[in-house]
Amino acid sequence: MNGHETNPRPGQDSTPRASLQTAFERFFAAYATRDAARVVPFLHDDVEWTVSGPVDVLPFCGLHRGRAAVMDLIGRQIPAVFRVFSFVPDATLIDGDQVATLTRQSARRAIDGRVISFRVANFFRFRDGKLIENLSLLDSFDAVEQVIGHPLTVPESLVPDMGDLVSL
Amino acid sequence: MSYAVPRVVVEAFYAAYESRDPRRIAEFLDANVDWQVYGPAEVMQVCGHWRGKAAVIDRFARVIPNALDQVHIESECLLVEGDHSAMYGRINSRQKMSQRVISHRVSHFIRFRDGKVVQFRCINDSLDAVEQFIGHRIDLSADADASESDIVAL
Repeated sequence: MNGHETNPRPGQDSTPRASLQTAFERFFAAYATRDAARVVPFLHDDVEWTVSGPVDVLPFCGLHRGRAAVMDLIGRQIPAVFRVFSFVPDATLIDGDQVATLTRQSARRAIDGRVISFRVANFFRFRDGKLIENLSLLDSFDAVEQVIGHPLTVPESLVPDMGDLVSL
Repeated sequence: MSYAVPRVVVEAFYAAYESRDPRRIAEFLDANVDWQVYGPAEVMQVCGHWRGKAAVIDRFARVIPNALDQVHIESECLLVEGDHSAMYGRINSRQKMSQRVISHRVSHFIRFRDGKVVQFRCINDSLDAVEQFIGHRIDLSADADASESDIVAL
């Protein structure tokens, strides 16, 4: 985001928190479209974007460094697996230079269009009004099952014996 | 004015959480607390959905001690705003049965009211956690039909 975009209008809150909220809301609106060209103006040159998860099934997981890598992630790698069409925040927190979100996302598998849904935690960090870091985390066991289309097999003999405990 | 949880309360909650002492944790639980840990409960009994203070206390009194000996959170981000906190980090624990150290990514989103937890939501890198829990890799290769062969993971 450039200086013009972050300058508050008369009457607007000009605190650092308000500036970060404005920067985040603009970034997030662009990110929700999943259009890499719309996201790139909000990315810092040195952005780092990390998605935790198994790269052998979800190839977009891992660390992506720099604008070009993040654009490729958003514009090509994620859509090669699924295309997100719904992006609903459950919680958004702003503290210091960071923003945390918990979102419910729905997507269609690229391979057959089947709808999948999952929750994602994002921890964004901004510098000079631009995104410098994102840490993404999702319930990877569930996400993998939905992407491959069937339950993962865990041999019963490998499941730890918990005595008389019953999962709730 | 809506409730704003002080950071010191959040930090005190995490100290109690790491102690795994049900009595200390109980001090931070609202009577109607909703506690949800996403993940396959049939494999990892520490995952699941617990409603109400008594159920959550039971989780820490019975479920956790049967599964884990130690719990330590390496918090990399702890945000506090309004009645919410959000944490991202790594949880390190020791599986009681095998004595294996289990370490995986975790995030918490917690809503407080009057210093008590009313909603706790935990997202784990659950596939990584399960593989460590069972002590084996889960073979995904035969199932990975949605992966793209020309993509190189970064």
